Amino acid sequence: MSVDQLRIIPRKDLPQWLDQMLSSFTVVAPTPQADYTNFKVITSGDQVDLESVNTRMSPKHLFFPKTERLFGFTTDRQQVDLDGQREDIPPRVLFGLRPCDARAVTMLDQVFDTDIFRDTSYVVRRQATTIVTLACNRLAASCFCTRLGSNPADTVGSDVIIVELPDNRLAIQPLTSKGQDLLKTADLPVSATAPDIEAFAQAIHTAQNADSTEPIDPDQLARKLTTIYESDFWDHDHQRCLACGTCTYLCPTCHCFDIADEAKDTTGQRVRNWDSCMFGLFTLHASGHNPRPVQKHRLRQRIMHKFCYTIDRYNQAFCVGCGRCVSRCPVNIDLREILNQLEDYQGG
Amino acid sequence: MATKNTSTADQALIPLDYKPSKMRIERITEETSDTKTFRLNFCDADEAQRFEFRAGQFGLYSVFGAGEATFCIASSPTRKEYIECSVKRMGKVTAELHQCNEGDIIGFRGPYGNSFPMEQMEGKNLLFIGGGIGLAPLRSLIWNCLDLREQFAEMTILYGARTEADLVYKEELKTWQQMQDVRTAYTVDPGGETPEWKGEVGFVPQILEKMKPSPKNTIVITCGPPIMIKFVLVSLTGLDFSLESAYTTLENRMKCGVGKCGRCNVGNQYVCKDGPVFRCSDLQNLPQEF
Repeated sequence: MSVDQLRIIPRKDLPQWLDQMLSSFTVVAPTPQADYTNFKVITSGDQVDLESVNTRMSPKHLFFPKTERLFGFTTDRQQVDLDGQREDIPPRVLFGLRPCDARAVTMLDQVFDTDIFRDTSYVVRRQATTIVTLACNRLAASCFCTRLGSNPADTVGSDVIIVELPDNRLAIQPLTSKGQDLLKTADLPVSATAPDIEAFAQAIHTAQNADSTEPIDPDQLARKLTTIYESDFWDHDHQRCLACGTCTYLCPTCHCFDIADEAKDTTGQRVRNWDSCMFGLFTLHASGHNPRPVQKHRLRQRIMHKFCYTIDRYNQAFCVGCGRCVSRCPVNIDLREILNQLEDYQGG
Repeated sequence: MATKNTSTADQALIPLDYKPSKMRIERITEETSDTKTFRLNFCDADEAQRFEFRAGQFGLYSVFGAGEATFCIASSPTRKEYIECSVKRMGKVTAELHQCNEGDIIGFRGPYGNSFPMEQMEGKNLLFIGGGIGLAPLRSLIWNCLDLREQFAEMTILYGARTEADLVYKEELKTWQQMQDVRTAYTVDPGGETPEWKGEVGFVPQILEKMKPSPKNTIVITCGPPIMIKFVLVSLTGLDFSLESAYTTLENRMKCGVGKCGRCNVGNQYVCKDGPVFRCSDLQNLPQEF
């Protein structure tokens, strides 16, 4: 990593820097909500809460909203008018997300921004956004990014990475041209001294090695999953699954959606909503036939999709180890345990 | 694994905003008590001019206010003046479509998905095996092949439905029957015949075994209810056909049609992108999620 662009600011100056940013950008950052944090548009730099490791919801809704108007229509059957006007997305900074969430955005890119059909709404939101990531200097109990081949200072998907130095200062490093532009606009002069650069490198090194868990071997896991599809491996966890869909809604990489019409009389709109492979209706045919009729099939689909199909298709597991599904599952289904069991499973 | 997507593979990135083209219903044909065929024309002349598809591809049809549903294009790509889709009344969108009149405007997105392997079919005997509304994608291909008749060797059509009343495209069935260079066999399930019925009585796989078609130089294309496909494949294997030269089309619930919404997959294959046309031998290696 080139460090010639490294900036250093005292931590206490962060709100001022954010205020400066607010003059040119919409800023979305973790803000306190009851006993957790979530990404919200801020109006002042002091609203940001960077103490909790992960927000309750991932920031994926900023690129792929929970519900979104695709177009409006007016119809009397013989005459149809379509209105494709979309929400205007101003230049914005997504500030203070964690390396796992930034990495997850690159996975959403693979789905929405490649492969012939580029999803207009996603691309517009993505292009308008500069991602400023805060490296983690501590892990939450549910964190397992290292298992997924990442680490608490991973820079994948980030335009700027911020690392906390031990003496209450922040080291700010642009990683892309978007990141450099942000630092110029927000008027943050290059200020790092040689010892600062050394401290930055040390902090990165410490974060990268904070967790010594052995990473999964995605290819091996994908091959194994193919062979145990029909095995008894799937007979247990689904029994307590409530099919609530929490895991999929909180997941920063889950991207399944529904398209539906909302209309009254002659006017209405077509909307895209988050959907979940955990729901029985998800695959139900109009005939009544359902290719995944029971919860066992749906839980298996979720694991297969994340750890086999995306490896076949995009060459990476669609899990970043953020731990949200682990900490919020109402019946304590633990993806980390499922991965451990998968590695150990000898049946077939 | 699936046949190559010839429609989109060489194209540049396409912006996707999910906004359908407007199409006017030119003609509605009642096929059965619950199935209608809609002939559609693009409202925009430029779109009509640009539109191209291959037999086997599908589209998402919408009734504004009710939503979108997926159907194959049931007309032949050689008949460029219109597209047709045949719709069985099943759920919300299909019920609304059935309420539509000639002259009404509906939405269409497509064509999506891969297509039947026309290039591999050249010079071969073609055996079409259809059941019920499953004749719709085969009809696109059958007319496509009939319009290019000299490119193919023998053509055989085996089609069945539960009852006589459930047979779709009845006029076209007669037309095909009268053609000198097409062999046809039509059947209804036992009990589904009227005293006037002159065709076969029995399930499609049984009639197939009775017909004893030769596997030599033959490509099979089959589409129908999953249970029919299952036993057709058993019968084909019994008749020494290789499932590598047999193709079918799958339908799974889908929303986007282009591999993003995440619900139509069969194992690692998306029906919308890698299908809907699959080689039967490949399907046997996939989870049976269809």
